[in-house]
Amino acid sequence: MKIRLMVSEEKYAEIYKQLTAKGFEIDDGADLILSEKNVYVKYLIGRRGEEMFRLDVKNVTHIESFAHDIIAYSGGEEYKLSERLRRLEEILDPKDFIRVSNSAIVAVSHIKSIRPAFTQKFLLTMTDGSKVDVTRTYYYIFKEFLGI
Amino acid sequence: MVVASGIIIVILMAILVPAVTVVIYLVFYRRKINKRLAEGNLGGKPMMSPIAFFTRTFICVTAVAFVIIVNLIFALSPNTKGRNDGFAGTRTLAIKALPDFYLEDSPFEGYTPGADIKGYDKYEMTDGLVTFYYYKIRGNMQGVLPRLMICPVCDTFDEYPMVSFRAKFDGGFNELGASGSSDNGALYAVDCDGYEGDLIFNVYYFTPNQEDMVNAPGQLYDETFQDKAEIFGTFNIDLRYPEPEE
Repeated sequence: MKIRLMVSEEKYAEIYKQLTAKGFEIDDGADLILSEKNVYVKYLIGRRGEEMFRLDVKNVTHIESFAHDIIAYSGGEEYKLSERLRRLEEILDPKDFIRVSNSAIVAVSHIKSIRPAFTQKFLLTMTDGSKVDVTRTYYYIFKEFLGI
Repeated sequence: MVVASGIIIVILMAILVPAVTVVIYLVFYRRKINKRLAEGNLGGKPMMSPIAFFTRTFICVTAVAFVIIVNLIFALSPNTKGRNDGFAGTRTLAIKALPDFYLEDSPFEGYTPGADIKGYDKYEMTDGLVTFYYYKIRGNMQGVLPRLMICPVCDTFDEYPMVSFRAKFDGGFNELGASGSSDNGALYAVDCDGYEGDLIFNVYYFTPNQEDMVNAPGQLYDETFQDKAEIFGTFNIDLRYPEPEE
């Protein structure tokens, strides 16, 4: 059985050993995840065409959902993720990533500029030039988070 | 009219001021948050959102505008200017020259200058060569007959003179003028029930050869009337009602 391991580096080797001894196969692309509380991922597995990529979360500017597809933007490229936005919100470090609408999560360090609107909205321009809206629902959460 | 214009201006200002200030605030807010973002100075005290700024500004400006409107209404409304000493609102004010043919079949029929009129108390006043006989209505006829009758007479003319008058009602903060012409020794009825103020009644006598000049439209104004007139007299009367006796 394939399992994805999401634990701290200190515990990784020991858990890896125990799970493989029990017959589990550790695979970053597995749907089943074993995670440790308050440990956040440093890499995401994204798919572009037939290829799988290991994405450093530091390079991810934002993640958007389009219908059933979840797209991560990194280095000017688009990668399809298998996790739902709700799950990504949990596994990404909340100090670095913030949910700004029902369909988008942005990396705070990749926000280039913020354009406030009168109607309780922000329009974010990311470092890769793409635009992301902060909707009314997340307006005050975003404001509080950034302290603006 | 002034009050209405004032209110409209204040309401427009109450809308415009918050609108303009919120646009300025949006520009300021945008600069500030982007500066914080660029400097990495995040996590500070959040600034007021533009909508909150607009709401607060609107409430403050509306409150101020309301106070201004209320003050404007009280300050400029005629009914609030002092006591009831002006002709506030619509009040009938009329002054009319009554040549002889007007007097037929009336209580004034057969009137001759200086004669008594039933229902009126007669008074006399002289200004230069002009004698004013004036008649104040008695209480029982108040509201039935004209309040005041004036009969100016000037006997120095050999020929039949042309007579013009200018009257000015001056009470409270309003002023109303009237003008016209009639014959020498004609009666003037002043009907102004409820008016409390002064009446200034000027009468001008012109020789017949001045008649064309006087009748030419727009030729003579109040200032020149007095200079051009052969003879002129002024009659002032206080038309305020006496305070009721205890």
